[in-house]
Amino acid sequence: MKKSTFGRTAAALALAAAFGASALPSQAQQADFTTYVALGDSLTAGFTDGCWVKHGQIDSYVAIIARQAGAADFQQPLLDEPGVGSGVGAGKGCLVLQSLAPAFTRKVSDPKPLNLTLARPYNNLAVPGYNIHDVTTTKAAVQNSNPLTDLVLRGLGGGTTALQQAASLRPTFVTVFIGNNDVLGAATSGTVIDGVTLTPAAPFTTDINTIAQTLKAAQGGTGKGIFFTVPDVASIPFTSTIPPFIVVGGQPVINPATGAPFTYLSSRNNNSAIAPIPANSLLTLNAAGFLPSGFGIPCAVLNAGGVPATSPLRTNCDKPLPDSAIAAAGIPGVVLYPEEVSLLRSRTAEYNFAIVAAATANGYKVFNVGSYFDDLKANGREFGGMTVTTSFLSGGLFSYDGVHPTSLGYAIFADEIIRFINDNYGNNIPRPNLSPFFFNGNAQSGGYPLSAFPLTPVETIAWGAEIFNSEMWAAQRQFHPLTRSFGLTLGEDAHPITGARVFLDRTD
Amino acid sequence: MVSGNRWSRFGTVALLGVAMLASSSVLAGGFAIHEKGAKATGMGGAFTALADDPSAMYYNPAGLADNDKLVVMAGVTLIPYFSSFEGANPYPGQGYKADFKTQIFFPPHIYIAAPIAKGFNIALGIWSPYGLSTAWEDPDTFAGRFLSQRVDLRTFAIGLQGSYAVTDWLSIGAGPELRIGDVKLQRNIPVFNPFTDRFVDAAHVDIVGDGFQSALSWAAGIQLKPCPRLKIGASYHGAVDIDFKGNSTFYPLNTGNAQLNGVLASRLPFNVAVPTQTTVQFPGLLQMGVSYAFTERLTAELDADYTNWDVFDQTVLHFDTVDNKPVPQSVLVHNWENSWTFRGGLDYRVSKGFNLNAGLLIDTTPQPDTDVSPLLPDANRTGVSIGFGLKMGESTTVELSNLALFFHKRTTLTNRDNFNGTYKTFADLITFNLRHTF
Repeated sequence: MKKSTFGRTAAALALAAAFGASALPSQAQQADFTTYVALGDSLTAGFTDGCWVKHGQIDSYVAIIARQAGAADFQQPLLDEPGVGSGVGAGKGCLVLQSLAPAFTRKVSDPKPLNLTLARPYNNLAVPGYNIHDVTTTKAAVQNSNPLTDLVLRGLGGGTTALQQAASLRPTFVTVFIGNNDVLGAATSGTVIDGVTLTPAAPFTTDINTIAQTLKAAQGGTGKGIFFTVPDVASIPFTSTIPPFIVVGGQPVINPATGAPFTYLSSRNNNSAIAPIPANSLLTLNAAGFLPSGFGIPCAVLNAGGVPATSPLRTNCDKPLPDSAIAAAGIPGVVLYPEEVSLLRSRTAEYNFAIVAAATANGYKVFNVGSYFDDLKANGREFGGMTVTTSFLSGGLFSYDGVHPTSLGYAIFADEIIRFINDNYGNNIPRPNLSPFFFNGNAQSGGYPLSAFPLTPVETIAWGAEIFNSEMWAAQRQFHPLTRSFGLTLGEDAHPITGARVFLDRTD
Repeated sequence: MVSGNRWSRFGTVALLGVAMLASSSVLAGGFAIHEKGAKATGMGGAFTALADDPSAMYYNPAGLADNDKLVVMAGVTLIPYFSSFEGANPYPGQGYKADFKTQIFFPPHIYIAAPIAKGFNIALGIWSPYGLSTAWEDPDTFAGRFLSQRVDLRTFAIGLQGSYAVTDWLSIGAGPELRIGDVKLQRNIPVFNPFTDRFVDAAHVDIVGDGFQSALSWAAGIQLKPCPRLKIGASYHGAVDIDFKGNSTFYPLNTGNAQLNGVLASRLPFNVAVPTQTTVQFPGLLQMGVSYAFTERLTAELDADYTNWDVFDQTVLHFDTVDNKPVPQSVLVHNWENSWTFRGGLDYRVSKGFNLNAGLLIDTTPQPDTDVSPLLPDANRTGVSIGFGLKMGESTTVELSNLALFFHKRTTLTNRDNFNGTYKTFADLITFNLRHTF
């Protein structure tokens, strides 16, 4: 039976009368976006498809929040097309998908700042590649060897840090999303060296306290804003797409001797005996550059599968996938062993403990990005029958680099943050309209019109076919087809992955 | 439940004429249709206690117990129906507008009542108890096309009832009802095109029921006449599940990318009939009413109807695997709640052979905000009706009524598929019938 609307209304009115307006955040407690300032790294800067460029920046999640909240004069270090990627020059810019194999090319990387002469600090002070110590100490690129630093800080005030510039704006509201690179660098390079690629917890804690206290002081002694926690590195497509075991036609190849799937071969720290990696290891997307020529695949498996002697898979079979980076050869590590994964996870937990403590001690709210990413990975999101997931390429949330969201992914994240602000500060910021992000795509943003790369029909697309499986349009969201299928194919009708190379040398 | 071929054939043949004419409707609490006769509709549907014409088969089977002549009543309700949608953020977004196709439905009704002995009557009738049709303008670009472009659900009840006057103050009636129905669904299927980072249309699917499917239900009623001026009535039509079988056909749409088209063709069973099954739950309806004749000319009735819509919890579409290309089942969660409708009506005899009717109804929606969707946007309703009956000669009566049904503006910001916005709907129901006594 339907409950009486009248009854509910009457009860609500009675409650409201009893408690007065004090139960709700008052006008004075609402988030004030008069001067909104964001600190962060590539995720806050609007980095997408392995590059930093205007079409990603104008729809960075902080830009969307500022737009929806009506923040006045929200300035960003805009870079005109084609933007910057990894280094400068041909083939180092934004990733372009060429085929579902997958194969990518890169545009030219050419930094063309559009807003360099702004006389004051930017509202979005995020710098791609920044770790937490950069925020508190780096004043110029010479200090951190990150040329993007100077595009943001610009030597203002005779050389100031991002934190100092943020404080100088006397922000009425701040968001701080930092710490990803303190753990992500170890993951993307496949090389976990504590204190080198991985920031220890103690200095992280010192820095996050400095950030929180400095911002609080700049806000007149009352912290107003949000600190974000650091998500699990295993929740992004970069580490969750390629399974550690050999897959044929979507099914793992079973070792008859053990009854378990064959895993790829590697050598711990590149200097141990070559052996199958544990089944709970993670492979990074960079492994896609090695698998097609047979790295990591036991020759015996190819023999058992009847793979012809001429197959490119025979070229390097029985050779290990690189566990750690070989800097001289420009080769990234592509394997994260279980102990490395657990170190990254426990370190992330320590960071998050420090973030929550520093934020709450200084009056800031905490948005749990880890839970949000986990939920996205488990459930996706549905809008009007379109299901977005964290699956690489087919899911819609993550861009070609496997680490950074698409504009759609950023917009959905912004929507989540806006609701968080409304819930926690009593604001009524309108949610963004996501329709353009669903249907306009990157061509609309000056990115990749279809005509840029003529495509021919492919009779069988080995892994592309696997990622676009029929479950996509079901209301069921638990599938992660890529994790089953990004592997090599064996046998008579094999279509080995060719040219599948993902170049990702620290583009975060 | 019966779904045998013999019944189906019987139903199909019996209904051939009317089914060809009839379309579906979306009126009266969810997808129930309450308009089964012009006089009753003119009285706002408050007719359970009075039940003094053959439409009593729907309003109260006991009402026919005193019928002493062979009566045939046949008619139709014309329903022009208008609905529009305005989007809300985040999807499909503020400023987005869409309209239903303007449709006119005309569910028919035919009743034959015959006295067998004094105080004992049998009746045969056909009416349309439930129906649903939502068809969006510009279905290829409608923002909700991945949820529904069009749905049609038609049902008919074929009733055979006996009614009996136990005493001069107590009558009862009951009988079986064969419910038959037909369903169609159309929508597009999206895919994320990674080359352009945009969602595109991958396929169009038509899900078409394999002709009318049937199931058996029942109806019963009771009428009390404690004194000559006062009547009290109650009736019940049983809940029933109809199992629908049919075929889905997936038609490929050009995604704009040859590779993507190739992948989709390798994954979806395009251009073949994919056997599909689903079950739709239809609720039971309890009607209760009191009528009182204030004067010889003026009678008033008040009714309350209770529909156990909570049986309508979800619709699951099962697809058989064809060409080794499985299509996962599709689950539409409804979670409807039981609902009340309140009705009041007047019958005023202006002169011998000329009656006027008026009525008012308040109908509460069984549909929670989470289920308000392009498939079926329901809302609370307020209805105002007028009507008249005119005797033409000794044995024929013409009746005509009009019910203006105002759907309250319905806004959902919590739709389960994140398709949010405001629906505005209006319907007008013009019921016409002829009644002839032999």
